[in-house]
Amino acid sequence: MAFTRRDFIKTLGIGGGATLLSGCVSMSEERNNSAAKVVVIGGGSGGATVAKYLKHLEPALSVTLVEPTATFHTCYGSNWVIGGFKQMADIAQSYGNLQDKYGVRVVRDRAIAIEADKHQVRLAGGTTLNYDKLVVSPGIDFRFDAVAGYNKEDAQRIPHAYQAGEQTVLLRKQLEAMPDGGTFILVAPGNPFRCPPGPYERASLVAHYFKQHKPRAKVLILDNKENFSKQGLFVQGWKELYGEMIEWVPASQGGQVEEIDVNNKTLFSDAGFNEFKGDVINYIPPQRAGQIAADSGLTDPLGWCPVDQKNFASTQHADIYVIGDASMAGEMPKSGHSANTQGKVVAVDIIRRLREQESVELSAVNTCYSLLTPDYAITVAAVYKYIDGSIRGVPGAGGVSPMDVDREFRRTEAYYAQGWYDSITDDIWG
Amino acid sequence: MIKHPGVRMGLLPLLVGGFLLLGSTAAPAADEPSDVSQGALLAITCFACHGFEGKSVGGMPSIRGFPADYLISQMQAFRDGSRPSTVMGRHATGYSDEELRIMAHYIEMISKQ
Ligand SMILES: Cc1cc2nc3c(=O)[nH]c(=O)nc-3n(C[C@H](O)[C@H](O)[C@H](O)COP(=O)(O)OP(=O)(O)OC[C@H]3O[C@@H](n4cnc5c(N)ncnc54)[C@H](O)[C@@H]3O)c2cc1C
Ligand code: HEC
Repeated sequence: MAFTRRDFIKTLGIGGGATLLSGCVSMSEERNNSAAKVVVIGGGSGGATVAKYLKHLEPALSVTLVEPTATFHTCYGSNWVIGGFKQMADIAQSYGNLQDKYGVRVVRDRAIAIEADKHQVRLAGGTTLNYDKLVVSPGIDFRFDAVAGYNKEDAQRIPHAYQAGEQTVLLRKQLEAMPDGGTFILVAPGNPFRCPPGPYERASLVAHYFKQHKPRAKVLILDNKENFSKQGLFVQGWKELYGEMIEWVPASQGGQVEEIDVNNKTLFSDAGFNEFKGDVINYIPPQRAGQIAADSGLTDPLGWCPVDQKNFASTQHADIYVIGDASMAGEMPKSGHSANTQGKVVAVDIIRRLREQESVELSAVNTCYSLLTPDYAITVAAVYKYIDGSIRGVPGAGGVSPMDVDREFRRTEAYYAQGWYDSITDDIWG
Repeated sequence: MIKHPGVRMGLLPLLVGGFLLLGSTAAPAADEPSDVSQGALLAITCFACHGFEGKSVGGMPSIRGFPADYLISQMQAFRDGSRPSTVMGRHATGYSDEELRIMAHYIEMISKQ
């Protein structure tokens, strides 16, 4: 469809044309209040990306980002803090650039209701926001009731450290306090969950810390699954780097934890037949889309949000998009890199819709870097397209790092892991 | 501190000359609607690793400022394996020649802005 500048002005609802458009970066809220309004819920990897790219690609839009925290700690890099070679300050991000450089209106509040029929979002502080398009990227919430003996409050003693912040610090402190010769138990969830290689990177970096400071300690992984992401590479690396320090127990061998005795730091599987006692326990509960998605009728019975596989539009409500961990994105893993690239798909789609143009073909990518030591990394990568009704990896592309390469290759990937962190956080919050 | 891997992987000779496309006159007029084409979407996915608008702030190589022809030739070399890489081979194999062409032109275009 041919598109003229007049259509553009009309679509955005701006009277007065050329002067507004040429000066649009500095256009004030007041003059701009007839522009199309986009509200974004959640300032994490998905939400901050879509807000920034909307304003970057279409400065005349009115974009409001709702996020309760002033300082966001990325989960990526949080295992590096737990491993003891990065600080919380190294994984802290804030919203000043989105606001000052790009003109995103950042509202520090929590969305408590989406009224899809009225195109409104209600915030805890009492404000109501109107939207033409809404993007929801609330990340995950936990199913704290999945095992007997454990509830939400117990996360203060047995941390998940799977939303970065206080939980990350808590787990790190527990590891520091643990005696040499002690056992660290990590309980990994079944699929699907946030960051498929995350638990195994964590186990590696805890072993890295133990090797230097508590060489007689053990790392035990109790898994709800039979196999895991980049397994061959992890297992090869663990042997090479840590000998017998890390032990992995799959679900069928007693790894499926069913009950936790929080006071005695003891875990039970196979109807109590197996018992594991730890000194520090990191229980990562199974997950679902962030609560606001469930409260707003955006989820399916399993707790995740079904979306149009071509553009991440919710299949439940018109004019709402869901991205990031909360969405069901075909073969894409729940990762920060996925959420970032989904944010770009949606930014482009919203702008094209407002210009009354057809969607372009979906194109997305993911790469998860995992460190086994600060200078040993492995990756899994893929390029995604819409193929036969869902989002799938392009055949022949992607895959994991090669097995059996020299340490130089692993070291180079570790160098790029930090490079990836610096780039993606600049792309999202910079 | 780890040395820049480019030194070991023999990339540096490719960088001399710098290809900087500054001050070109081909930049679009300020009141033209921005580019949200297929090429734009393909290219902006690269920026998670290469930095916003292709300008790296850390250890990843920048891809901003390269002419489209150079970008296309390097992507083809990653794709067929003639240029060794840690991860680019696994990405470049995801794109057709036509996709490489339109994403490279977008990167060249924004580099002139
Ligand atoms: C240990 C660990 C390691 C990881 N490592 C990597 C890695 O190396 N690479 C990678 O790509 N990914 C990694 N991830 C995964 C990555 O962190 C997530 O996939 C990513 O953050 C998902 O983005 P999101 O936007 O869906 O959610 P989030 O980034 O979690 O953002 C959600 C935001 O929404 C806000 N929010 C929630 N509810 C509301 C509401 N009602 N109103 C307003 N705001 C709300 C929250 O405060 C939060 O800021 C890792 C995760 C973990 C746990
Ligand atoms: C996962 C991160 C990642 C993504 C995504 C990525 N790259 Fe790269 N790129 C790298 C790394 C790392 C290198 C260095 C070579 C290597 O080891 O793979 C590189 C090198 C390059 C180079 C060579 C630069 C030079 O100095 O000659 C070009 C060109 C390039 N990438 C283009 C792209 C394009 C275009 C895309 C998007 C389709 C892209 N890259 C996506 C990580 C990435």
